[in-house]
Parts: sequence; structure tokens; C-alpha cells
Amino acid sequence: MIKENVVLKGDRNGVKIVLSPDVPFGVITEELTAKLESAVNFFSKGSCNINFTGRKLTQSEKLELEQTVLRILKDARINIGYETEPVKKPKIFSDINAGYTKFCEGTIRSGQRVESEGNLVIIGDVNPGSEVIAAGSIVVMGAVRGIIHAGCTGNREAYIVALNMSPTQIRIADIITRPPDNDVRGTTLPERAYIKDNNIYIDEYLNTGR
Amino acid sequence: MGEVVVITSGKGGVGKTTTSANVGTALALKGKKVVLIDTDIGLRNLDIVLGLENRIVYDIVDVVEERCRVNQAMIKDKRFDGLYLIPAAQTRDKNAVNPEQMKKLCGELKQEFDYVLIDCPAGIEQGFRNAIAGADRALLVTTPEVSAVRDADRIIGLLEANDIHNIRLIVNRLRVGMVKKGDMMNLDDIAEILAVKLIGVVPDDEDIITSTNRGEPIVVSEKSKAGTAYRNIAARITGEELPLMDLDADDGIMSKIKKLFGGNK
Repeated sequence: MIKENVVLKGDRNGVKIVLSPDVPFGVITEELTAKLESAVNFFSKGSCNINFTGRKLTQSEKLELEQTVLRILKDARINIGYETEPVKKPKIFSDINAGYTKFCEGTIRSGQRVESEGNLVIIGDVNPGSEVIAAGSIVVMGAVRGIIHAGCTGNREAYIVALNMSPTQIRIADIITRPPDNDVRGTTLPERAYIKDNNIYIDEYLNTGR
Repeated sequence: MGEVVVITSGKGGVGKTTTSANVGTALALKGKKVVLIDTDIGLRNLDIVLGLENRIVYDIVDVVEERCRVNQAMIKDKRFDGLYLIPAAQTRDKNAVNPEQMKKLCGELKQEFDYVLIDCPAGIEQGFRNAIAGADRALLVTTPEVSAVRDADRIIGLLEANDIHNIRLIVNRLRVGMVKKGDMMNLDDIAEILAVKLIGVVPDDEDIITSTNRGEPIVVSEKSKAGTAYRNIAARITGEELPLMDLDADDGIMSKIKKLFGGNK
């Protein structure tokens, strides 16, 4: 797999050049030179704006980029600018008590994967081999036997409720747990899984308060 | 540097996954460092047979798509040190991985492990091509049925076309009583068609069903004949020379088996 470290993109304002933040600067200039040289014809007519984005640049790096561009595209009128890419941080979903909720009817079977950007209600069973993932809480009106992950964007307040909690694996936010080997619980009472003291607990929720 | 061994059959349900789990475990029992790779993406089973399903966090697709490091996806077996599993993804399909990526992965793993065992999916499509891409040798599993042998023959052709010439045959689920009565293909019949060297014969054993359901490979049990057969296969993989075990002491087939095994060496 070859990952491009320099990507040229056209947009309304001209050409955007996206630089990878993960490689040494030398690689960037090398790839940029190659890319520009193959695109000299494209730039030859008239004026053009070039915006660099995707990585933090020092003053000397900026200077080097500008020199590279002007050296190769010496016939074109180029304006060079810089865009600082907003750092994308996945927002932690917090509307657990009232917010976006996806409803899903039917059995989730092995190999199926159901995801929700908010809370999730499943009216049916979650079979082994399936994955159910939500940014918020998950309610299953049936048996959970597969992998279930609540609060996947990091909300540790998220919880999971199921009529029969026998999952392969439970994950809430960044905590992963699994039932003990040779788990032979006979209970089929509705239960709730939640985080307390960095551990996932499973309790009956009808009689015991959280 | 270790070896990459693909366990394949063509036909489904002849025991590839059971063989992978048991041979892998048996090699680990012998003190080898072993990693099992399940390439049956979308229909993964090897994790269940090994009883490791609930430990899966990352899988082979996460590895090739670089969402995790290889050793993050390796699940350590709960019984044996030196045995690891890289599970398949369940919510993806065979096209999520390509042969080039498998070759690279196998190449990396055999630096670190004595044996890299690849559990191949049924069929001859993308999944099969992925499974054999990095393989140095193959274990071909068949049952004494005309259909299974036919598919195995097709697989031998495809393996050879892909430059895998070290192919060994495992005849699985042999029922000595039925062979004796002439109701089941015997080893000679199979060997005559396939013309590859036999590395082991596993008798049909009901305990396999319970052991796979429980997630405990049968090689762990000293009493089981099937378990012994798998341990012997593992020993032969490492280069030991063992006579084929006595499936039925009073049976004339033993001499046949011996002859076959000895004669084909």
C-alpha cells in the first residue's frame, strides 16, 4: 500500500495541497517536487492560489515550500497561503438522557454490525458474532450474546440494559471486559451494565438502585 | 526462520478448522512457538474452537488496514504459552484482505514464530487465494468421501499452480468399521487418486464435537484416539518419523496403512 504524502486538490479558491503530518519534511518536499513537475502544464496558464494544509510548518519549512513551488512553476503567477487544518477530535456523545436515539427492530445476527451516533434501542436479540456499537447507551429488548459497546466515543456514563445479559464481550467507553471462563450463570433477569471505579459492573436493575 | 503452513481442503465441513486448532495446539505442546491465522473472514470459527472468542478486540482486517499493530491482534491462548491466534473479522468479507497483504503478514510472523498455521476457508475464491499467498507448505484435509476427495484433487492442482509443492494429506473422520465392510473409501483408494504423501489419519470421534463446542482442542486429552492422531501429525510436521497409529488392532487395515505410509515416503 502506497500512501500519498502530498495530495493536490482543486477547490473554489484554487489548489489545495494536503501534506501528511506523519513523514519527515524531506519526503514532503521530494514528493511535492515530483507532483508539481508532472503538473507544470496545469499551472502554466494565468494565476493560481495554492494553499498548503494538513501539517504544522515552521517558518523555514514554509520558505522551502515556497521556493520549491516558485522554482518549478516559474512561469505562473502563484499566490501561496497556509491553512491550519482544524484538529478533528471525535466529540464525546453526552446526550444519554435525552438525545438522538436509533431504533432497530429484529435479531442482529452473526456478522452483522449495528452502529448508532447516539443511543441505541434494539428490539430483538443480539446474537454471538455480531457487534452492536453506540456512542450513547444501549437498550436491548432481548438477549445480548454478541459484542456490545456503549459510549464508544468515550462517554463513561453510558450503560447497557438487556433482558438477558450474556454477551461475548462488553465494552463501555474505553473499558473492555468479558464473562469469566466457564461462566454458568442461570439468571435471565433483566440487567444493566455500567462503569464504576474503572470496572464494568452488571446488576439487576429492577430491585437494586445504581 | 519459521514455516508458513496452510490448512486447506476445498470442500467445507471436512475439518480444516478442527485440524488447525488441534495441530496448532499439539505443536505448542511440543514447545514450539505457533501462531494460528483464521482467514475465513465473515465466517470465523477458529476462535470458537479454541475458546478465545470473548478475547477478540482486534482482528486480521484491523492489522492489514493498520488500525493496530500485529501483536495487538494476537490473542494468547489460555492454556498454552507459545500459542497465539489472529482471528478473522466477522463483520467484513473476504475482499477486505488481499494476497499481497497476507504475504507481507506471513513474512513478518515467520521471523518470530516456529510455525504460522493458516486456517483456509472453504472454496477456491478470494479467501483461498489469501490463505495460500504466504504459504511455504500445505496440509490438505479430506474425508473418505468421493466429493471431498474430488475437491482435494482440485486444490492440489491449484496449490501446485501457485508453487506450493510441499503438500501433505490428512484423512479425517475415517471409520475403520465401515472401511472394513467396504462401505467407505479406504486409504489406498484415496492415495491412488491424490498421489500426495500421507501425514496422518484421524479416526472419526464423537468427542471432537464436544471438544469443539467447549472450545477445548482434543489433543489435550491423552485418551482420545483423535487427539493422539493430531499429536502424531504435529510430530511429523516437525520432522519426526512416527509409524501410523493403530486405529484398530485386530484390523487388517493396519498393514495397509503401514504399507501406504511407508511406501510413499
